Amino acid sequence: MKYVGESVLKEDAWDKVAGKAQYVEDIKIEGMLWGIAVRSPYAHAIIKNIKTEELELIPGVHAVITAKDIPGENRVGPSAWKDQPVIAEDKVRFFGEAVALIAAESKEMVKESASKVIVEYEEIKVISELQDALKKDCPVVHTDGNVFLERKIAKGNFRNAKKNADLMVENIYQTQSVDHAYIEPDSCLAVPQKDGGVLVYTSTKSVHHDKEEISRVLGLEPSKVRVKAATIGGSFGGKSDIPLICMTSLLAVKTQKPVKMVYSREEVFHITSKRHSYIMKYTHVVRKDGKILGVKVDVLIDAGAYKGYTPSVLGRALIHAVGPYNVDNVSVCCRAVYTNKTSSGAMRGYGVPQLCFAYEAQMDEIAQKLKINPLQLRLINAFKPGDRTITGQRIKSDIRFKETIKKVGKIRENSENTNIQPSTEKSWIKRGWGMACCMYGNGRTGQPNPGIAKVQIEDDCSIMIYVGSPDIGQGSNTIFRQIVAEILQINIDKVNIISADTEFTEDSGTTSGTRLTFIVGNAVKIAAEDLYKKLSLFLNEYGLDLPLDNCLIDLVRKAKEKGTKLFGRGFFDPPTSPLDSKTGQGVPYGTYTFGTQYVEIEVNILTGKIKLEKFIACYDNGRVINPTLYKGQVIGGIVMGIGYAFLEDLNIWKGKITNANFDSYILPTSLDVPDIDVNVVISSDELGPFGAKGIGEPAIIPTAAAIANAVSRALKVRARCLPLNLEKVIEMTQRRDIL
Amino acid sequence: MTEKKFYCPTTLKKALYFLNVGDVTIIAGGTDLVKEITKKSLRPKKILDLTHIPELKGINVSGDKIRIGSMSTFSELAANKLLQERCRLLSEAALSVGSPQIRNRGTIGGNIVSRSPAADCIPPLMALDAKLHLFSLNNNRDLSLVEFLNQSTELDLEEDEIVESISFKLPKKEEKSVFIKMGRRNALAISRISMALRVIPDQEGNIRKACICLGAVGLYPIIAEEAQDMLIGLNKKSNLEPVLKALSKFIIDIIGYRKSAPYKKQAVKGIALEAWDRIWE
Repeated sequence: MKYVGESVLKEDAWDKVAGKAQYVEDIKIEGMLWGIAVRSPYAHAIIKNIKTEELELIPGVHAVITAKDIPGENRVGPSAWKDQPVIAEDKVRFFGEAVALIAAESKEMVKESASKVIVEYEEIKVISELQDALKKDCPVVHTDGNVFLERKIAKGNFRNAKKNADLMVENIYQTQSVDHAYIEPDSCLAVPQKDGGVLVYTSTKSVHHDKEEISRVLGLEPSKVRVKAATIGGSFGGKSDIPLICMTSLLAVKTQKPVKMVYSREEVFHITSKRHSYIMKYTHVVRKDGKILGVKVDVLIDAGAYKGYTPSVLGRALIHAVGPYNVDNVSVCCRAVYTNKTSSGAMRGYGVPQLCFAYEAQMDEIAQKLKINPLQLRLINAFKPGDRTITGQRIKSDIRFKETIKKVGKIRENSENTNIQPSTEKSWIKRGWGMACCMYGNGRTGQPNPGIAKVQIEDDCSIMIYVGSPDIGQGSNTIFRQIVAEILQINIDKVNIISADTEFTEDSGTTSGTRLTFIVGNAVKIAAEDLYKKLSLFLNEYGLDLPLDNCLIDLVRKAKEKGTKLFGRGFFDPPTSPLDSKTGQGVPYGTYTFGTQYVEIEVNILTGKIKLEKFIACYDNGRVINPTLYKGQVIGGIVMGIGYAFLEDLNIWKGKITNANFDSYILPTSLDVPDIDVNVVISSDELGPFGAKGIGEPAIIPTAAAIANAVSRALKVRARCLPLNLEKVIEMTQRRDIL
Repeated sequence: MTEKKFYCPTTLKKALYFLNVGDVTIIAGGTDLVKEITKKSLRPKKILDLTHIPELKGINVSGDKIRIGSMSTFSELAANKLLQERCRLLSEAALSVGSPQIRNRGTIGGNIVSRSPAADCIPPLMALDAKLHLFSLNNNRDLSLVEFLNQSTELDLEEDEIVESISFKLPKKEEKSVFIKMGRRNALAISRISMALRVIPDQEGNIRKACICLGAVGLYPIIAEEAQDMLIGLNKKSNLEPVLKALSKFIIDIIGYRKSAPYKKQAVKGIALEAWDRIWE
């Protein structure tokens, strides 16, 4: 193959390096106003009164909007549950929730004027902690109880399994909430249109969904709203903040002028969604030969103030709770809880890295108690073709999960530098290694989520791909171009793409759930094949010959003469079925990506400093379409996982994040990243385009788990709580439950 | 909007004259001040920029003294050959500050005046018994760094004063020194705890003089006298355990009431061991 499997350069690479790429912030329109939200200084309070009169008299201030001015429905949400107001009505439920909007002539003026809105609040007790939300005397965030969702899934009979087991391992684990930390803040530019509608430029993973939300809030016909993604400076599951795009649009329509809103870094921290923090109780019952007979899991999920993505994250958590292991008797229960924090949302790994940290700690503990090599224990239980998942889905014959564990083991054995022996020279430096495995369903959980694409030959003799799902920087546009160039057998330079513009592209779903390569890539491939078929007929008719590179000019001329557009359309919805509401059985995903990560570390037991020495990663990712992009995803995922493992932590006091910028919210830098050896096993997915699967989210899932296992091994104390910061490592060294 | 003034003099004299006007905020590298202004926790009306005053720059030796102009940047300190050879602790501390961008802007004078408990250059300067040279239009005076940090109002910086330079005695050739910083990450980190260590070994390699200064363990860096005295007579092969215990106890004595104490009483041993290791390299 000429393009599939090649490291084709991303088409936007040079523009980004040269600073030419246009982000929302860079787009300027004559007469443009700046918008800002007036935000609550309390995390939980009744709004008694809002005074904006003084403001309306200030020259240069063009509009002030409160909840009562919203023409449509003042409720938004990323999934079916719409429970978050764009502007708070009678109550604020998290720190920084918007209570009013202002548009003014300059950035400085709009900031200045925000302080002139007088809001009277009556404070209510703030629920900061997940555990507090469950207490009987705790106030409620909404009108019903704080536990708003409970779902269970079961397979076999856990109780019986427990009776037959030789060993039971039961522990509680906890993880923190973290920020996506994309470099470009959430931003939006809304331009009013002559027909009363609005054109919206934003940094988003979901233009079509954004369009629906805007039209509902503004009370506009959907056809009058057009959303177009600008260059996107990172998403990782975040973006766009839905209230933001609605607020900007409201201001633009009200003032009939273009309005831009760009969140400050502090706003990004306070307002936008976060990774869910979990409290997890795991009970594994095991036979002495290492076979896991049953697993019981109870998960408490901190949803924040609104439902947001939580029901959907919870659904995925149910299915991934046991990890990539074949267990006959499983019982999982997940509960979601409101707290007075910004809503928890979608973030790379979608509720699974938390679980992986816990179930992989359990695996190591089982291995240690049964005196089985941890690698071996994982091989004993690893999913293989023919096994059934917790939902009864059959593991396909093309799955090569065990090979990823074996390959990591082999690389580790062959590596000369492997030094997992304790260092003798310095007694305060301990060494350890850790591994962790994961599986991840590609696509949305048990729901139709088709990819739709069009591939067309344009009048200028180029091939244009039309796809609704945005390239959020991971390179999906490049993958699609490679697929089309391969099918049409044409020089890839002639293949261009328009993505994420509701005017020109059909809804192909959001850029989420590791679905773009696997699902949308398939739609692109089918569209290219459809075009190829049509072309062949057309060429025959006019006596033209392939390859396309040679006959394109004649072809376009003929098509013009005939008045036809040459295009192909592709639709691909993975063969899934919803989960049965009682038994939880069904086919939630078209395929799964599997993988294994391994890390060696050094811990200073006096300072608590963890030094990462090297990482080895290996995935069953199907056929890799672009090796450089694959490697980039794996390395990026690991770096993000390093931050999750021992650096990143949102400090919250009375519902307010106190480290809301990068000076105190500590991300890893390049000096914290060790050598990362990225591998794949040879495999080909029977459903994926050219056999490909997705890697975006699986890349991060095992990282923190592997690091925590390595720290546990080095200290001979089990880590039960993330992040493993300096203080927590020292606490661990002083615990007595020595392994 | 209120009127704001920004002075940018090219001589020290002009700067002192402006300062005399009163209600003036000095900007050195701006690595702290700009952040405060952005956050609106400070709203200065008149700002005096010291960046373009040659008299406040330079690192030079006269006699047995080193003088460092207060507007010397961390990058300049870190790149200075003399400091690298004779004052490793200060050179290393300067290199450990923030990122290259911050080191290019941030100054030693600013580091002192902002009085952050975690300021990286202060422990080495305290270990070196540095003096500040304060200039005002009508008066010049010297103040030891320790006195300055003690914040007794009489000795503090007056509104019309500028830290012109910092000076200390040039360490002897046989002296060994090191600066160790423990941060959460390997670059761009704020010190959780730091240590500046100076020792002068005799010809047999036994320590005859020592100084330990700890950073980020209280309001300002502090000399660990008991522990440093215990270093006298020790050599490369000595058991450091009693010194570590003394350091740990010292931490409890000064910040035992703080939440960070359980961590820092352990961590101090870790950085002491690292310092000990590296000093004999």
